[in-house]
Amino acid sequence: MKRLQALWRGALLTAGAAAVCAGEGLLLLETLRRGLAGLGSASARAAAPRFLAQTCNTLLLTGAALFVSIPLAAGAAAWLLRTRRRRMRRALLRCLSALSGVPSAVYGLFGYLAFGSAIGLGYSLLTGALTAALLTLPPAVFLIRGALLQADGSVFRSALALGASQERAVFGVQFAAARPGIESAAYLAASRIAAESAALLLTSGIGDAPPRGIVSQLFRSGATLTVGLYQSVLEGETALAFSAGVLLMLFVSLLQALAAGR
Amino acid sequence: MVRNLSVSYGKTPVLQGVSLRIPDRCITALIGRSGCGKSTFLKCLNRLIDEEDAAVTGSIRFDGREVLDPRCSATDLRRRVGMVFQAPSPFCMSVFDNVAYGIRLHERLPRRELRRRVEEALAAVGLLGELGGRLRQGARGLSGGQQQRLCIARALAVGPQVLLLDEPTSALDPVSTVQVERLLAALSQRMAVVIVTHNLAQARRIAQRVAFFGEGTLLQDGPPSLLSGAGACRELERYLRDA
Repeated sequence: MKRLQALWRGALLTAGAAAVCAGEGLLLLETLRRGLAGLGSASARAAAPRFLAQTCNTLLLTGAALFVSIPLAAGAAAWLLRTRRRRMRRALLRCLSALSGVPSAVYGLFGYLAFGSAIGLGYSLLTGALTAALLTLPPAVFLIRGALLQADGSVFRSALALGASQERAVFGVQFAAARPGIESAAYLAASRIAAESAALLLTSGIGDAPPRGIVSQLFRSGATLTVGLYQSVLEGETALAFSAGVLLMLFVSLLQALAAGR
Repeated sequence: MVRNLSVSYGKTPVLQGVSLRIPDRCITALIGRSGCGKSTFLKCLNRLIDEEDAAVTGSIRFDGREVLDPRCSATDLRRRVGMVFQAPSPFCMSVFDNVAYGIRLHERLPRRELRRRVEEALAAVGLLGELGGRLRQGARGLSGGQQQRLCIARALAVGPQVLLLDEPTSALDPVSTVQVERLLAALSQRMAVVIVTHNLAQARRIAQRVAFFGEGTLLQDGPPSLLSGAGACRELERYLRDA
């Protein structure tokens, strides 16, 4: 009887795993099939400048967002680690947990109000980058805090024992020990930003103009690959949408592989 | 000179009324059962206890100044009272940068002078010859014994007057342990060394003074002959029997 139950459990688990692999595999293969076919088509060649612009916008927006979010997340994580104000620490952790669950469209609305309208940046990559930075801040704080906790805590104590201040011990030594984890957090944040759609649709806009300069491009409206994918679907160009999907998958897979490699 | 030192975490007393004179140019071994407050006592001497939620009362005088006075700079004190911990903890840097780290915290030296100080510290712990000049290699690639000696070199490089060691050889193999003990014996010629150890044989080998702690108080201190039972108090005799 026990043997039968064990066999039954094993069969269920195997079937579940097979179903997941089949479903995910189908999605992946179909996207690759249509996307690669689309990339070779005449319409894709005609849309190459648009793809180039969207790829540049994705890289620029992701870079700018990380430039803001990772240092802030690192600072917040270091404060959470070292502070003795337990109530404030608990309150901040609860706020961050709550913010992690807020839909990205809400971030987009807030981002447009705060950065686009109040500061006056309008629809621009910078508005999108600042919004994306806010969006990725809570998970980045948790990941970096986890990396600091996992890293060898004795190096912090050793740095203090040499006469370092708390700040120098944390940022100079403990962060170095936690670097692989911090880099993973950055790659994961980058893959989240690159794949983001709702928040960026409401903030960075749908511009397709070819980029002219890094700084000037930040202040212009620009669609990322994900937003471009939505655009293509709405315009009935599903082949182009799948092609954008393939490019996005490659970019995100690369970032995930870099994160896993740390 | 430690007078009437008491430490408590919340309502839990860890050290009560400890008074002890730590002689210069001498190895003082702190012995006692686990949890009796030896490491806490050590952390008070260089105010690493400040990093914990502990209430500290009493007096610790060093070089004519009151260490526990909030006006006394903890970072300056820790330069003069160095500490090495149980588990080797090299930073994620090269061997050179590990040793130079403490120097760079307190001084701005020309490159040549910095290199000289680093090599001097590494030579003092016997690592300079062993590494054969490969000072740019990562410190975490060294063996456990080499890492612990590197940590001692790192503490020595800033020129301390007192060196505190919390069970520095408990994680090391016997050969590395002997190397570290020889090093400490040499260092005690020029500075006060305070070592927490559970290894009574080690204490017998290297200590010139012994302080026996029990349940948060200093029960007895005196010459190393105490470790053979001569003149030992009842608690120490029981500890020596059980060890």
